[in-house]
Amino acid sequence: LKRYGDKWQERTDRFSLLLSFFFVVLLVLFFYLSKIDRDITNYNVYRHELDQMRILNDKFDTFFYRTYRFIDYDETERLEKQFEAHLDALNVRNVADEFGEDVLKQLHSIEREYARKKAALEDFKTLNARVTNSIHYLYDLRKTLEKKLLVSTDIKILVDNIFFSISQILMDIPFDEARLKKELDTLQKCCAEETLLTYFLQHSRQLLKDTDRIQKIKTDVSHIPLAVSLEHLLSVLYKDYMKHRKEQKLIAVLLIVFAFVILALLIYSYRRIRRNTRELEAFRFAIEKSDNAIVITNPEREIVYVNEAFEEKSGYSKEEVMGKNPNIMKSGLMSDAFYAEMNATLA
Amino acid sequence: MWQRSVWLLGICTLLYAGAVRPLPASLDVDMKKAALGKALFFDPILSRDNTISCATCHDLQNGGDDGLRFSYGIKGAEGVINAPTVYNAVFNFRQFWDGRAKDLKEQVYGPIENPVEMGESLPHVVKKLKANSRYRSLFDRLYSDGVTAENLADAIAEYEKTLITPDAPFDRYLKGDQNAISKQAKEGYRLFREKGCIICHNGQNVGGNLYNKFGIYKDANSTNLGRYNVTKREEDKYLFRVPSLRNVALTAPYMHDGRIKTLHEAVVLMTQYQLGRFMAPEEIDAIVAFLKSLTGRVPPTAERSP
Repeated sequence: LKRYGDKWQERTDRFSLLLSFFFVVLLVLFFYLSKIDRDITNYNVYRHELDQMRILNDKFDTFFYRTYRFIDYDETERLEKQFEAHLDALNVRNVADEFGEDVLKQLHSIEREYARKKAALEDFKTLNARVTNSIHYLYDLRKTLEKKLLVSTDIKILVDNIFFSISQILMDIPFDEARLKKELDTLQKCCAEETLLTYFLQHSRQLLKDTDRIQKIKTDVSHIPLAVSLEHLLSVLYKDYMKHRKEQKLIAVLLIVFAFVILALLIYSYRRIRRNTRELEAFRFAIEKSDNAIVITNPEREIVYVNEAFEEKSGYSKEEVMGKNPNIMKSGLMSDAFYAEMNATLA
Repeated sequence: MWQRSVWLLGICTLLYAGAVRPLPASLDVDMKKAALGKALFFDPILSRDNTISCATCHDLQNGGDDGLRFSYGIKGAEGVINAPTVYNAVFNFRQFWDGRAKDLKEQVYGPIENPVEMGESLPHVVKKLKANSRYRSLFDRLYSDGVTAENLADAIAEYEKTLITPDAPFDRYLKGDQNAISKQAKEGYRLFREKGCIICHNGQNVGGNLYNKFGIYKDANSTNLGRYNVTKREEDKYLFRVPSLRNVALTAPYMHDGRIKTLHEAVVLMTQYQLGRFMAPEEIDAIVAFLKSLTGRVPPTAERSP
């Protein structure tokens, strides 16, 4: 009986241990899954912000293609504010912690490239407003000049030629700059007294100067690798994300497998305990109904169980003897040797 | 909800794609902070000798500037630049004539620390405000960190967001009221577009969204180097923020150095120095009539009473 009891004790202990272990594994799994969730959210936020920045960067580029066009400059400002809001959204987050120092560095270089682009756009706005005004006015002037210059064909041809070259500039068709400059000089010499022609000259020269600078700005802007940087950062994040996803998936699956193994062990253990318990139940029944008086004590010699036969034979009720030392029943009928043996057995 | 407002915005942009757009009736403002900002705006406590407030040079009942060529600071010191109006400043892409402040908040520190304006130091202003129990309790209620230079700027900037002048006759005209402006003003707007003014003065603030050189076609002999002072780039010499033309009829004298006394002269100067063209006197008159239709409604928050 004692052997069975010990086994039962051992098995329930192992069961509780397994159970607590199971809970620990579940808890770890839960926290790991929420970490994965946080990582995914972080990645999504970054990807979203960077995607938006890429779109805005493309929109900035379209401004540089709108040379000689009227632009409502509120629009550039609105886009800049949006871009900066996305940058800020990334900056308030702890990039270094979430994705490492390298990503932080890349983000800083994106910031610098954006600042350069913004400055270039500012210069572009200033010059574009001027060239747009010049072209606008040159067209306006031509109407008036046509009427005024009907008499002098030479000047009319000269003006027409200059106007044609300017149209080439507008269409980005390569034009003969030296010839245009020569024509402008010729025009200057022959008609300094005509105010409208002076305006015409002034605007043509200013236009040449400004378009030149605009071309320089455009070249500079094409060398700002903002689009590449954004794309690069996105792909770095993506690769990093995929790598982590793979690792995390593996770890999560392992944790789940582990949990299942423990669960199987738990079920196995539970079944063994149940079998054990059944056997003990049978013993209990046998003891209960035994004709021999049976007393069970704990190591402190306190009675924890007596069977029915004991009650009948000793005259003590169960309630009376529970928790008492069996020596209350010492009657003197038995030899001391008997008691010594009994105590030894109980021990 | 969000998508719908974007959609509406798109519609509005399409409707008003005509380069000059009406001002919104109001902006999203924290009214409690704005009230504190208003108290500060009118309080000379911000200056070294407690004589000059923001309102000294930005008279809200007279166009939001002081009507002087240059403003006077503490101890009668004369400034070196014409005070721009505070009205609709929130719509400008940068603040100050040379654009050295990126927004209203950043702008606030400028006049306080300028020796010929308020001549004060930020730590000292903070100390004075902390010593004032009314300000201290107001700041403590609105800001978790109480009185700081940044919160001071934030409150004033918040108040300045209320200083917008919507509902100008021209805005009503843009929204469809054909009788809101005179025939001459309509003619003026046509000329404004056809003569090229609109190339720089566009958007909802009719300007204030780019820099350009003062004196493109004629040397303007400006002593102030403008944006060059900030960037030190040769190409930024004499570049100034193109000012908004809203309420321009109320903000004489004109140009960054206040060299021009009347609107008529200002338009003439613009045609010669900026557009490089000639305009007939009646065309100038029409443009002036158009510019006068840009005077908006003074907001209720501009009243001096608390």
